Amino acid sequence: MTQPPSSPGIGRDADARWLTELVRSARQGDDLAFNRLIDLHHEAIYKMIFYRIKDAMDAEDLSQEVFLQACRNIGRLRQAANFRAWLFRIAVNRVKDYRRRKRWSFIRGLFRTEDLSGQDGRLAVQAPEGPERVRRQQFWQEVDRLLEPLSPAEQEAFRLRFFDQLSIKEIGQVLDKPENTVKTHLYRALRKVKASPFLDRLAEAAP
Amino acid sequence: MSMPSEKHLDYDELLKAVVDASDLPDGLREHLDHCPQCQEQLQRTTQRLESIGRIAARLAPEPSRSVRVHGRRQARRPLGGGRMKSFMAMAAVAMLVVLVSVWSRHFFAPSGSDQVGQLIADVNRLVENPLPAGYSSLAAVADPLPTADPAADPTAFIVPEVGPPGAGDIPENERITG
Repeated sequence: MTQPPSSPGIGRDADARWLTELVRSARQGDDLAFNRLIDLHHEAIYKMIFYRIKDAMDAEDLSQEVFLQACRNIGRLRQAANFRAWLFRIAVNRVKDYRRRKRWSFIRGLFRTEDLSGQDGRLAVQAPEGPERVRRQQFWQEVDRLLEPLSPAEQEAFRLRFFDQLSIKEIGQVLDKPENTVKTHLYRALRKVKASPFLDRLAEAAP
Repeated sequence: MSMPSEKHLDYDELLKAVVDASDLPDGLREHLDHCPQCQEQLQRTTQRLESIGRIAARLAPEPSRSVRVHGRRQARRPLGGGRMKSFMAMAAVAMLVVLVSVWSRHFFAPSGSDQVGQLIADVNRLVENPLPAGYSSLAAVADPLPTADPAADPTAFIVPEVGPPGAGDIPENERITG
């Protein structure tokens, strides 16, 4: 395995060649290299999933599934340089599967007789008790309201750009869409977001 | 190269610049490069949007357990070249077998009137003898055992009469008598 650069990180800070070498080693069955890639991307993938499902425990499970799937299929990755976008693409698909499963379990739950009140999984955030917990719940609710007028494609493009900090090119790879289409989604999303009163409230929450 | 525009970026142009400033028309891009007011507006809008992502990252929980892979097998090769060809050939053969079997069933299937005739024949056979052929012999219906003649000498049945050697085999008119 090659040595890490002086300031390891993801994306901008990381040495792209070093990452590419890691991916190549991982493709050849090097567990150490693959575990290093997991270390570099785990937090980003976990948070990316959390932003979308708002459930810490399920986000843990899903991020684990993402890396297991990546591990099984890394031989299919054509360009090592696209590893990060490829990982996000797997994660986006896992989130879609998760939402589909949730929808079905919700429909099944309608026919159940036991009381399920108070089991709102969307906001099952592992937050501290007290005001901090309330503040976090309020933040995620306002994010949901901010993105509510956006179409699913616009929401995904917006989240990938401003929450997950992906470039336009990477978003195109994740969503399997041309860059111009991504830009159109982003532009439409921005028009709606800028008109929303929740943008100012969320931005003011920044320290 | 066009001259820098004197006009400041409007709302839509500002949003376009947030998405990708290089997509602006040449004149507006030149203006943006030289106008501190538009640059500040663009920076403020971009920072406002990015700040939401930063807060989200801070408020989202950290993953509590790490993910590790051990004893991974060699990465699988993608289907390509020879493997793809053999896979396609196998798929084509399987498809052919399925088509032939479906076609032959359809082609050799008896017509409606033949099926009715066959059904009537089967019903008639069952009325005459409901047992299948294999069971008929076991039940001895087709070939009953010989019954004893009460008028006959019972000892003859047990001890058959023994004539001169070969006499029983030769007809009366062909016998040579002394």
